[in-house]
Amino acid sequence: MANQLKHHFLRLSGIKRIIYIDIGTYEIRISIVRKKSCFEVLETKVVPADTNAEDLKNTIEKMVDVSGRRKTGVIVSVYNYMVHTVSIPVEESDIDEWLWENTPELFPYKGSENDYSVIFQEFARDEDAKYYDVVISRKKDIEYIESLISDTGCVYSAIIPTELTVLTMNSLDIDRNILFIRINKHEVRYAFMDVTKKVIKGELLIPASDENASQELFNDMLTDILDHIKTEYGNNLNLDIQIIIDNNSSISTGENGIDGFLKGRSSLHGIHSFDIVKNTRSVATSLAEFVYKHYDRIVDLQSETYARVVRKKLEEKIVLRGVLFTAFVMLSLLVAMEIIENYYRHHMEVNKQELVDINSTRGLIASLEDENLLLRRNLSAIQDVKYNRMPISYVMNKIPEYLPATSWSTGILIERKKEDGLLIEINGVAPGQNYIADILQRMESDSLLQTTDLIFANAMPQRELNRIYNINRNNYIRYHITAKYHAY
Amino acid sequence: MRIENKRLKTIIITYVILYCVVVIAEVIPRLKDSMFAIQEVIKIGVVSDEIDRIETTLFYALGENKLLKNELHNATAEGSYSQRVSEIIAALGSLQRKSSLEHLSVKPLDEYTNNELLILPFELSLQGSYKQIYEFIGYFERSKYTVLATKIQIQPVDAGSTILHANLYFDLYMNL
Repeated sequence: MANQLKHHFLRLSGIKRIIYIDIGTYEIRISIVRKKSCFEVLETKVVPADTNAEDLKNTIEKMVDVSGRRKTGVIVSVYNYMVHTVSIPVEESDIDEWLWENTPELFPYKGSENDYSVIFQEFARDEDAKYYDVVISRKKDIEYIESLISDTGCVYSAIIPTELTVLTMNSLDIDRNILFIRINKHEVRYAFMDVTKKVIKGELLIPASDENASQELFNDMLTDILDHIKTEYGNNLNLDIQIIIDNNSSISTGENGIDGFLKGRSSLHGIHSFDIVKNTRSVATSLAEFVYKHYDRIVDLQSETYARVVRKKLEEKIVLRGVLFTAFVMLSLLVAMEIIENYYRHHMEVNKQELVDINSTRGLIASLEDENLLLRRNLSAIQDVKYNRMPISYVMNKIPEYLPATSWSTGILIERKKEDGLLIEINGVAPGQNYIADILQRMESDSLLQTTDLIFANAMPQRELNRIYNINRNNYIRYHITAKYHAY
Repeated sequence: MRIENKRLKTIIITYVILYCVVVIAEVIPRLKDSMFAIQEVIKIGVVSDEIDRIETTLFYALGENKLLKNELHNATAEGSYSQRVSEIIAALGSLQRKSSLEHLSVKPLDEYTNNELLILPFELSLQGSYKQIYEFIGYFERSKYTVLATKIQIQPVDAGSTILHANLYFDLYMNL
């Protein structure tokens, strides 16, 4: 995680474009490299090496506008430096001082210690000594470049020794000796790095020759380079070498040139195992990507003071972006939570109201069910009255059927009693006993009548009969009959 | 990646502290409130799933209630006590005319209740032939009202007369 953060230092600071300035002996190449899913060159311009600072700045400003420059880093690739491998006693702590005092041959130009920019990188150590790759450049050159970058207004900058950076870049992925050859129009620059990270650097001038003599030229060049390396290592040189070629010259890379020369070769000048890599992507994109990803691991020739300023700018940008981003996240979170809370609160209120409604509906249902129960009972009682009771009119219709035409009734009582059923009492007068018997027989023959009782049948005095009914006859009988219906 | 600038480090630490304060003071309580609200909504949501069932039950209960009330309305007299009595008297008058009875008197007795039914007893005195009395009672028993004749006493007005005097006792069932 920490490494990932380190590698994304430039990304976090919002740098998406790199201006790659390749300062060669005869020309300066300015490329705009954009970082998307991979790095790509948007535009390249070449100006003569002797272009003054103002024109160079104008060229850069034309390529990237002001707002764009605030999101742009500058990588300046330089060749004007020296690399030496130096062993320093383990106990020595002030490397600068020690170098100046003990290795004056490393500083060929006249002047003071302050005239040089010295960068050193430890690549090995044993009991007695520490081994350093020491990169020395002239401070005046570096300050000139720093002032040029500063004027452009770009955020980030790095001044990298080209060959050393290419070797470092390639040594990350493989564990073998690497030889980087850059063929320019008039000279060849080369650098060799072994597996211990020891570096040898040199350059050759290219003699003017016919283009058709490319293969011969390349062969001679390679011989000279390998001779130089072998001089340093003697017989200890491991001949398993990866050769990287960056061709910016008129030497052909096709069948008549380098490709044709290398084709089918199983050995090259005694190298028993070699692997030629021609840069398929431009050096600009490769180096931009490498610096972008390995910001803290590159050898940067910038002065400490300027590097600190650059670093501070980057840190400020990262902090500002971080604060803005996290504040935005926090605000978004708060707004989202406010919305979610309101949404669910609203639903909660609605649901609570629904719950109240449900409860009141349940109450309503319960009261309705109670009411319905009562209504059913009432209806049942009503239906019982309406359909299960024997109508008195029916009984009244039957009574004349019980009485013969010559008898008459003096009183009828029909009474509905819950316990006993429907009771009938008939009082009447009949012209003889046989009529009474007839009445009883008729009543008994009615299946609906449960019981029939003759309570009394008394002879009626003639005088009374005459007085009441104006009948002057004997044998009239007064009777009283009761009966009961099955039905209630 | 390390920030080397001390001033920026201080700013970052202060900002982180403030951020934590905001998270503790604002975000966490809100989060808890939101979680509570979500839980409540889910919990109540389960209850509210019963709404359909309850509404269906209510629908059937209301329907049954209406049906039962209609049936009771059709089978019983409704309205205030005086309305019912006057309605019954008017109905009896109509029946009297229909059955050609000569005399009719109506005497309401003390009412009583059975469940939610009000039972209003009447005593009727009337005069007419047996047939007329029979028809009157028949009409009344078959009327739209739920009436139950509980007792009837019939006797001639005079000895040998065909005009009878009848005392009828009816229970009139009414819906409260």
